Amino acid sequence: MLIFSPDAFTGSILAVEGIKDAAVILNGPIGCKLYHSFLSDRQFPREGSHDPLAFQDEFYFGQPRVPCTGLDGEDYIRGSLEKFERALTTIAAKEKGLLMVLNSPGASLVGDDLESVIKKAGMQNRCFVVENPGFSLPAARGFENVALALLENMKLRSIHRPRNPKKVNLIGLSLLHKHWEGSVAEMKRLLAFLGLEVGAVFLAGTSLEEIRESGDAACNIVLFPEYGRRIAEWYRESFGTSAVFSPLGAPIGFDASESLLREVATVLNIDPAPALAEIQKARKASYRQISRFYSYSGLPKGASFSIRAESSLAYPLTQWLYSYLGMAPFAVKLLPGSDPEITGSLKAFLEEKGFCEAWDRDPSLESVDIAFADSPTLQLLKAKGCCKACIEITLPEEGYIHIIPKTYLGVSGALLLIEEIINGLRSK
Amino acid sequence: MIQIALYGKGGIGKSTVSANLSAALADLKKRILQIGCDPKHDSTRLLLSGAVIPTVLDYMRETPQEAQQLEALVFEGYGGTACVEAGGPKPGIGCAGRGILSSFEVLKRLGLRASSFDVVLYGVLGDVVCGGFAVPLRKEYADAIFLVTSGEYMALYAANNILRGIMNFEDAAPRVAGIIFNRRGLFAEEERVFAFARAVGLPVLASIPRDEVFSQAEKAGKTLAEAFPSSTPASIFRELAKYVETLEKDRSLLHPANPLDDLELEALVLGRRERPCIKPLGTDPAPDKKTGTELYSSRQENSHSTEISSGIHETKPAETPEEMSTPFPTAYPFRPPLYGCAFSGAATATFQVRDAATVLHGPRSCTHITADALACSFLRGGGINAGGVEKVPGILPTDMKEEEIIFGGLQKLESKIEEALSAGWQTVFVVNTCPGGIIGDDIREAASRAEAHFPGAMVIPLPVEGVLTGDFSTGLLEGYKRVADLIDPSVKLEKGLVNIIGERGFSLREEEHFRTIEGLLKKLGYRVNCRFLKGTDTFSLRSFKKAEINLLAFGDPETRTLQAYLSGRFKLEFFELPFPVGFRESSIWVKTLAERLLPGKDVSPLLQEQEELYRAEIAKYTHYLLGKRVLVVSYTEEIDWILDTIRDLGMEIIKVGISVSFFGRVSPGLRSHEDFSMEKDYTDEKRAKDVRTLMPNLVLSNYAPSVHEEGVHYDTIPFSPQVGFLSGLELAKRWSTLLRLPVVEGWKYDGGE
Repeated sequence: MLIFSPDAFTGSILAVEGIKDAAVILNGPIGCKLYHSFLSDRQFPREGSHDPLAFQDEFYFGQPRVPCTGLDGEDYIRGSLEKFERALTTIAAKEKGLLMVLNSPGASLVGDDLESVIKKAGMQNRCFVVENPGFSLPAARGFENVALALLENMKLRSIHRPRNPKKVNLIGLSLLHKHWEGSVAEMKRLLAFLGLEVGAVFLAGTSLEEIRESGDAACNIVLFPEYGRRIAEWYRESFGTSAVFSPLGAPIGFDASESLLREVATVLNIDPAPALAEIQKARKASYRQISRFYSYSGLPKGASFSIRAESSLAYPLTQWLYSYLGMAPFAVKLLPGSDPEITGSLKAFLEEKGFCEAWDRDPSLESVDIAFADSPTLQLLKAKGCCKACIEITLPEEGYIHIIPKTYLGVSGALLLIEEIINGLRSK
Repeated sequence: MIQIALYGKGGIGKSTVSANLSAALADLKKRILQIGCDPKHDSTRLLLSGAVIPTVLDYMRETPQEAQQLEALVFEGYGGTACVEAGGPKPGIGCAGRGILSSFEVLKRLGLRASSFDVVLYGVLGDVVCGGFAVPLRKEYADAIFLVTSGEYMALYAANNILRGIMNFEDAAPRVAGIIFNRRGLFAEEERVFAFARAVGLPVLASIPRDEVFSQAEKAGKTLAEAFPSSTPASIFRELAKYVETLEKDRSLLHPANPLDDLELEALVLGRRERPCIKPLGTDPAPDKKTGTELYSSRQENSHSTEISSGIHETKPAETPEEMSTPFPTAYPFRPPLYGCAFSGAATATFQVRDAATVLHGPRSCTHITADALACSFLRGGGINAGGVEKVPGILPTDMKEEEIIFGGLQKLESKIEEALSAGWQTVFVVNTCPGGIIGDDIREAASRAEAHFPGAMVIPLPVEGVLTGDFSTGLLEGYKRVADLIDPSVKLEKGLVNIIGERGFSLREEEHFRTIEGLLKKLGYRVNCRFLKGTDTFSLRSFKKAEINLLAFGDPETRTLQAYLSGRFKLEFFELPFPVGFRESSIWVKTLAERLLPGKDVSPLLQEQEELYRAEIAKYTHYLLGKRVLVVSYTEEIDWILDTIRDLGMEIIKVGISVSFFGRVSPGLRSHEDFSMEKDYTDEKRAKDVRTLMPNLVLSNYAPSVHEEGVHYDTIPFSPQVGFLSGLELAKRWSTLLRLPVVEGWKYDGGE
């Protein structure tokens, strides 16, 4: 094996790094910081330069994001509080918004009382601590744990505002999701057809202000249940906010997108027709191209595919590729932390359609037309001849720099997938 | 409601005191929660008629999170007391401190609320050995702390140490309730305990006699309140319970922590006024000089010294003015930051052995971070296709979860090593991370046990322990050393072969560099035997000593350290010049190498051929660049090849500015700078001023500014310059194009708010 998906430590860091006016202070060695600073900066660029001389402030170690205490072996033995105290003062003066302090796996074993330093500095109102980095737990678990700690820390329960019937929050989207920015734009666009505006996006590119005001939303739309089921539950308990899930998982493909928009419309008692009309328009547009391609190649029907992703992405994609494009699932491998409910649905779907051998099968054991996965997996599959074309649907990415916002969610996402599939099949 | 913590040396009787106090409080109709925080989990036994209850940590390990319930952990004991045991790993395994942290997290998550009780009582393991055991000391937990001690020196030492621990957590409010004196019946015990209490400014709240009723109650699995309610000790606990009740209402009874220094404590308890002067092994005695340690430990750091001197023991003599003026260490010395970690460095080295597997012992995050970089360089460098290797290098992570952190992860590690060996890997490296190191998992033990089951296989442990042993470079070198264990020292040298030493594997151009060098070597009639360490295998490593000479890819300190190691261990000959960059370096490199390998061979036709090619190509760009003025800004002075190219193109170097090196590296210095001025500690401000006053046509720097500055062309200096005679050509081609383009491109105007 060569490819290992991130765990809760990365999920935790990227949760807070997904807030415009918040930052993570890592209590740990520089080795734990470098990768996460790079990842945060790449997923949510805030600076115009990579020059390390531009980020020379102590505790930043030449990078713009995720300042850290820079612990070493001595600190593990003697404790890290002295370094942390200094780092907190320096970083708090430089960063303007909320700060989350997170222990690295090693630092969490020392058990230093970071909270006491924060209290001593009188910074309880803008700084909170997550001591446990979630050893080897799935990334989504770390994301949710931190998100819930954030909600508690922001004392949202005490903020009561009248419900806004035209406002919804998007829950369960992270910087760990590919094209998160385009996904937010697409969801806002589609929801606007229902006369709805988006408040907080929990937690990708949102602001503290939007989070503070998130309790008044008419409902919470959960995009990736792995990253949002518990958060939505928290809102339901705290504010009575309804949570809307697509039964298929994330809104990937026409069917899942349509199903999610219908659910939202039902919960809020509004007419889904304008949004469904938009989907219908896109179906028509894709029909022309698929039809022309199909007429001379017989494809995409019969083309095979493999997927390596979390279940909320893998299920709607499998379902849609099978039912809409007539493609055959040969290998579907889920990543750790997949939503159990959707995992069950996916397994049942494959069994029902006669593709049970594809369930939990490693993509490197099959040769398919198109593989859907993260970049290193795809490169490996390609090099081993396990796929003819690749579609990168999850992180880590190969490094392609996107200028035009893209998404695999919603209507635009469905069209992009069709485009990439047809061109992938065409060129082989 | 009040939360109290009982601390004291192991075996001092904390469990007995805790249980009896809880029982006495229950008799006062208080709602009690007792949480045992000792891995031996017996704190609540007497409240539970001798029953042993499941511990939080065992439950956490055996029950999936979604199925966990508080009811499975809280048990009803004497008088309705709620009893919980945190538990812990077996002695010597795992991390008991992390166990306490995790237990408290679980109890909190499952909804155990202190506010549902009148008194919450924590019984904690002997000493505050690490932050985990200090959890109950945190403000959010213990409001009041009781020290349980006898009159033995080690018990008082532990009590004093606990006061030190409390001091680390002290904020505004005092939190020490006082001392519970659990008598052992020792000579002058009472004097010592009371003297200690006076010295640290604490009351002795209870003096518990040695009494047979304790042993009888224990045999019955009961507290005194239940078994011998009318005994004297039972009445002492009733009094103590009433004091807790008072404390609940009146926190002014609490005291600040004022620990003694070690010498004061020794003077007080042992009557020892000064420490013997000892000398380090193998040195001459130096009776007049105190060591730094002695000076440090004799420092007067406690205001109670006077009180001690007026008590039963004399204090030590006052320091002389000379000693007083000796500077004491007030802070630990500055340690340079560690970039990356030794775990990542070691794994990077072992990963290059393509037919070996590396087992990574640590949490998934450590594996993900390291493997992501390795997979990237392997796949983007055409790892599979280029070498024709079908087998992907093996990485097997142990993915340590919280339970392995607490209870130890050796079993999992051993089975992971066996998994690698069963899959057919004959060579397996084992590298550990910070958590694996901190909890003390001995990877050598796991390696040797697993190896014993697979005759002929090699399992090589690298206990670098994440950042505990150093940074990335430290780990990389350790990895190189262990990979070098595979070299067969008996192999004989063969003519016509060289080794390449110190390639990094991070640069996408590394393979291109190798091919260039390989091409030059071919012209000299040589081929590469082993690349140490880039995409090699155990066969070529074993044959390593066949090479006639070893060529260095770089001349940086890391590669030189590797050179020194290999040279010392295997008595190898090294060619001192690293891979050459630029025409001049390449000429020298080829000539010097030929002199060593092929004495008498005339390499001038080869050099002439290269020179003709270089001059012909350079001439194509001179037309555009002749006379153009260049300002060069660099972190390093290793830019002679760029300056040569500028000169060869007929351009003018007007100045070289050397910025403060971010990584603190000392570069060897420029070969020659007679034709231009040079300035060190160069900054962006200085550059802006020079651009205005010197008016260059082109500014070269490591990073180009994104904003349009001073109307001048900028370009970057390559991170990984092309190796060989023609390095400068790609720059010449680029500059000749660049200077014909707009000075400021349109996008640069769009960066404002």
